[in-house]
Amino acid sequence: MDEARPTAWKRALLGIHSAAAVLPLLCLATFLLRSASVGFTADRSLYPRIENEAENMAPYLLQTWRQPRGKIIAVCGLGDAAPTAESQSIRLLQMLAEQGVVLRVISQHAGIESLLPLATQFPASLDEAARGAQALLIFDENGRYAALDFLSLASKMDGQLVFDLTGQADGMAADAAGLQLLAYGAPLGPPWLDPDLLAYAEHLRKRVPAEDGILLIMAVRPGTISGRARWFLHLNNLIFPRRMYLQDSFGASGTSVQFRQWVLDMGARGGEFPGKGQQRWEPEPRELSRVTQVGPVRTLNPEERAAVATLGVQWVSFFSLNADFRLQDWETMTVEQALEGPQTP
Amino acid sequence: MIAFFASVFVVLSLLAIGGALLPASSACPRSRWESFALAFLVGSAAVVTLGSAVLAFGMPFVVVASLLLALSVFGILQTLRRGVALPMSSGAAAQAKTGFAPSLAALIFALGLGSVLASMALPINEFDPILHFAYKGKILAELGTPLDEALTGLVDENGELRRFGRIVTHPNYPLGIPILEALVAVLGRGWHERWIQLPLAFWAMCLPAAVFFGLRPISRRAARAGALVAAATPILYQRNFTENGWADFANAGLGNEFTLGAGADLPVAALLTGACALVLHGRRIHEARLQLLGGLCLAGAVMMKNEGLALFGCFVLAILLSGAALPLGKHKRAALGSLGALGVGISAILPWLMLRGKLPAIDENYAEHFTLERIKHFLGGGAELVERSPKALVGQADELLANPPARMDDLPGYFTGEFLDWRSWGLLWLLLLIALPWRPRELRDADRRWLAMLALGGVVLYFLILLVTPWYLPLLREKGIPERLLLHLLGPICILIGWRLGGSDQEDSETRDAAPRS
Repeated sequence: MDEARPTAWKRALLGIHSAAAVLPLLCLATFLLRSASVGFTADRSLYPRIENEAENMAPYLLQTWRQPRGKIIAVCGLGDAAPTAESQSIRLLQMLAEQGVVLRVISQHAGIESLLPLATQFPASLDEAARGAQALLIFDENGRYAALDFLSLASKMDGQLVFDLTGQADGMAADAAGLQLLAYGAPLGPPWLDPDLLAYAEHLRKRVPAEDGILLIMAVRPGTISGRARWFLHLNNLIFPRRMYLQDSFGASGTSVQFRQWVLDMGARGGEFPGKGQQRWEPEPRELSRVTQVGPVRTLNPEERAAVATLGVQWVSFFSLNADFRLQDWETMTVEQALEGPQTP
Repeated sequence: MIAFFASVFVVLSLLAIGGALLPASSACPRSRWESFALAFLVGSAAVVTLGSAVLAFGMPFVVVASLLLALSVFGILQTLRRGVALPMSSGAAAQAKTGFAPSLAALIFALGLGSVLASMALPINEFDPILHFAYKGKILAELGTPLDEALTGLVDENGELRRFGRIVTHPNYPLGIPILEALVAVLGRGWHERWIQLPLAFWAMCLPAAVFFGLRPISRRAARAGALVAAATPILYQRNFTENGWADFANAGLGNEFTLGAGADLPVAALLTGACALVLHGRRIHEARLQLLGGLCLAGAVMMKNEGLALFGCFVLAILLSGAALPLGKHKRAALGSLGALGVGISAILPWLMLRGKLPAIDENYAEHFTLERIKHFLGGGAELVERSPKALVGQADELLANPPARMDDLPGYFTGEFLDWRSWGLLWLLLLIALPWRPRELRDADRRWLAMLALGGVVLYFLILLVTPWYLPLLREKGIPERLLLHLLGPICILIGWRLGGSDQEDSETRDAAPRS
C-alpha cells in the first residue's frame, strides 16, 4: 500500500482543522473535572446563578402587597462582595424604600450605612429583624444565611413571604414553616433538578399506588407562558407508571410554541378558563404544603366531574401554573374528596 | 450494581451480535479500533431494527430482551468459532494496522475515551433525552408495548384529540434509543438514569473509526485523514464552545449545546457514517455482505430520529441517481450489492413505519408540509404562514401578524453562519468544498458521485425541511437548528475529505506511471 505524503497545502489544511480538536479536549476535560467535583451527580450547583436586574425585580416584589408602604422586610445579607452603589442589593433596597417599605438589614459588610436609605434599620440580630416583619429578603453573604431556621423565623414574623435572590434557599424547609418562598435568583439549573419538584414527585410516589391514575386540574388562570412552567411533563415522567391526565394534553405536551398557545386557550388573555365560576377551597390540613390560604384547590366543573368517571382515575392533583415549582402550588387528593368539595363546618 | 452489569452486558451483546454479522478480520482486514466501532454500529442497528419489528408485530418487549440474550450467545459462539477457524495471517495483521503517528493516535484515543467518560459523567440531564426518549424507554420496560395509552393517549381510538388525555412529548419519535435504554432496565431489573446511557456512550468514538474503515480500500493515508478530520470536528462533542468566552467553561457539558449524552443526533450521524463506510468498502472490494450491513446501519439511523427517514431517502436517491446501482460491466457486483443494501434497509424500516402509523404525531408529519407549493412560496420570499405558532408569542402577536418575517430572509443566513462557525466545525465546510469531485476523472467514479450527492443532498434537504417546517423558525434556531441536523452528515463529508486529502492508491500509481512519460 502506498504511503506517499500528501502535498503541503493538504497537510496545512488538515493541521489547521486538527487544531480545532483543542476545543473539545478542553470542553471534555472541564466537564469531567466539574462533574467529579459534585460526585458525578446531576447537581444544581453546576449551573451558574442568574442575577436579575434590580429594576426588573422591584415591581414584582412590590406587587406581592396591595399596599407596600409600611411593610417591614428583614434583609439577610447584602451579597458576597462588598456592596457598592451599583450592587444589585443596594439598588433593589433603594427602590423598595422609595415605595415606603421599612428595611431591617443584617450584614457584616462595613460602611454600608451611607449606601442605604436613611430610614434603614440595623438590628443586632436576625431574630430581632424578623420580629413583626412581613417578609424576609435573602441576598446571603458568603453562606451566612444559606441555611436559615425558617421555623424559628416564621414564629417571629407577622407575614409569610420569603424573597430568595440566591436561588438556593430550601423551599421544603420554608414551606414546612408555612412560609411562601418566592425565588428571584432562579432558575438555578434545569427544571428537572428542582429540589421541590423532586420532593413532590417522591411524595406522590409514596402516596399514589403505581397502577393508579391522576387527573390534573389547573386551579387559577395561568399567569405565565414560560416553558419552564411545564412541571406536569416532569412529574409525569418522575412518577411513571402512574397515569396522568390533563385537559387538552396535546397542546400542553407539544413544542414550547404549542404550549404557549395552550396557556392562552386555558384562560390567559381572555381564553375560556375551565375554573370559571368554580369555588376555591382548601383542605385542612393540606396534603404536604404548610402554606395556607394560597392553595390551588377548587371545585370541579361538570366536564371535569365526567372525566373523573370516564378516565378511571383515583386521584386529582390541583396546581397553579408557575415558572418556579413551589409545594404550595400543588395539592393532590382522592377523587372522592375532590368531588365532595369544601367541607362546611 | 446490577444496573451497571446489565448495561455492560447490553454493550457486550451489541458488540457480539455486530461482530458475528461482520466478515472475519482475516477476510476483511481491519484494526481492533475499527472492529469495535463497526461491531457496535452494526450490532446496535440490528437490535433496534429487530426490536422495532418485534414491537410492531405486537409482541411484548420481553421478547426483544430474550432475542438479545439469544443473539448475543450466538454472536459470542460465532466469534469464537471464527477465531479458531480463521486465524489472522501475518499479512492480514500488517494490513490491519492504521499507521497513525503515535501523537495522532493519542489525540484520537483521548477524544474517544473522553467522549465515553463525558457521556456517562452525569445521569441523563437534558430535556430531549429525558422526555422524548427515556420516558418512552420506561414505557417499553414497564408496560412492554408502545401501543399503550401512555404513548397513544393524546388521541382517542378514532384519532381525534382527547379532551382529557395523557401527557407525552413527540409520541411518534422512533424507538431506537428507548429500546437500548429499556434493554438495560429490563435486564437490570430497574430504571437507572446513569447506566441506561451506557449503550449510548460510544457513538462519538465509533464515528471516526467507521470513516477510517470506509476509506481503507481507497488508501490508508485517506483513511487516516478522514478519521482525523472526523475526530477533530468540535461539534461531534459540543457546539459553539468558547463563543461566550470564559463563561462557556462554567457551562461545559451542560445544556443542549452538548452533543454527547442520551440524545438522538449523534446516533443518527454515527449510523449514517457506518452505512456509508460499509457500502463504500463493500463496493470497493466487491464484498456484498458489507454492503448489506451498510443497509442495516442505514435502517438503524431511521430508528434513532425522524430525520433518519429523510436521510434514508436521500441515501437511496444518491445511490440511484449517481448510477452506483447500475449493474453494468465490471461494476456489476458492486451495483448488485448496493441494490441489496437498499433492499435490506427498506425491509428493515417497514415494520417501524407500520408501527409509526399507529402513533399520534405532534406536527411531525412533514409529508403534509413538504409540498411543491409550500416550497415555492417560501423560496420566493413568501411571508411566514402564521397560522398558529407566532400568535402564541405573547406580546408580539399583533406585530407578527401584521408583518410576518419571510423565511428566506433568515434561513440562508442560518446556514452560512454555520458554514463559517469554526468553533463548531473547524474547517470542515471549506474542506468539503475542496473535496467535492470537481475533476472529470473524479466524477467518473460512482462512489465519489454518490457520496457527494449524499452530502450536498443532505444539506439541501435540511434547507428545504426548514423552509417548510410547521414550527416557528427563530425558535428552532435558538434550539441549535440547523447545526444539529448538519451534524448527521459528518460521516459522508469526512469520507469525501479524507479521500481528497489522502488521495487514493490508484491515483498515486497513475501519477507515478505518468511521470516517466512526461
